Amino acid sequence: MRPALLLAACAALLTACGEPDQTKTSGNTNRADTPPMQGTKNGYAEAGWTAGNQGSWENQIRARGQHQNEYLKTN
Amino acid sequence: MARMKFICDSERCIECNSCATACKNENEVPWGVNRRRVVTVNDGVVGQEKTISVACMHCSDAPCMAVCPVDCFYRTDEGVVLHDKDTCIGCGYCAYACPFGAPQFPASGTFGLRGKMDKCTFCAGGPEENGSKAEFEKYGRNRLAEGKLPACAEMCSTKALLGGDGDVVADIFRTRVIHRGKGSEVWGWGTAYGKGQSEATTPNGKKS
Repeated sequence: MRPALLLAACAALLTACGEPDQTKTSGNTNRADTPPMQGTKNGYAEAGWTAGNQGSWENQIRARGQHQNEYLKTN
Repeated sequence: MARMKFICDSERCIECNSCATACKNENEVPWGVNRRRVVTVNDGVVGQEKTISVACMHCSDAPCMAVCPVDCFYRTDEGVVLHDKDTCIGCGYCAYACPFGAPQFPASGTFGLRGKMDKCTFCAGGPEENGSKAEFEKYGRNRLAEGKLPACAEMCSTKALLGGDGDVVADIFRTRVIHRGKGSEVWGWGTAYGKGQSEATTPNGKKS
């Protein structure tokens, strides 16, 4: 009984000598931010693409980007 | 997909500040914070004045991320550099590290207490749920999650500021440069008022 108690006391004391885990995980950092391709529920999303589909979102962004290309409009 | 990038065409920017205004309006950026600014060099010098619109360039190797003591920055899969205001301690290291002056600090209180850092998010919000009220209040609109591009680029009247997929933006800019040429073909008397009869037949080829 006594050795067991001693071991438990030592373990409790040694715990104080440790340090908290500082490993970066999605839980303790912001790397778990929801990607934009997952879409939004705020009602302002553009039509024509499927939320949650990476390819669909990329196509939408590329197509939208081409709206900045006036050579497609005037020439 | 390539990384999200901005590019500003100094030959086209007319210093109208609509990009800065669009950003302020879209994200409800507070007074004293300018996520995007229009910078002019050689102001008033004929032929040498250049204007560009500057914000966070979402660096591939961002110095702000490197110096942040609380590691509040993160980079999304789209190459957008974002930060977590819940983690930020407002120390200002990022402001010193950034070569573009992107990190901004809202001054508040009697003694100008420095608040949490605020910067351009490429209209991609922050760690909160996409399009949520909490995300909007801290970071502004998440237009990428709505299938849109940053408001500044989409609002640019002369399309000097381009934003979006790096490949698309580079292609647009390349096409533009090939079509317009450079030097005196781009700007000047001839471009503004038309060439005279003799000049029209024999281009002088002078460069600005």
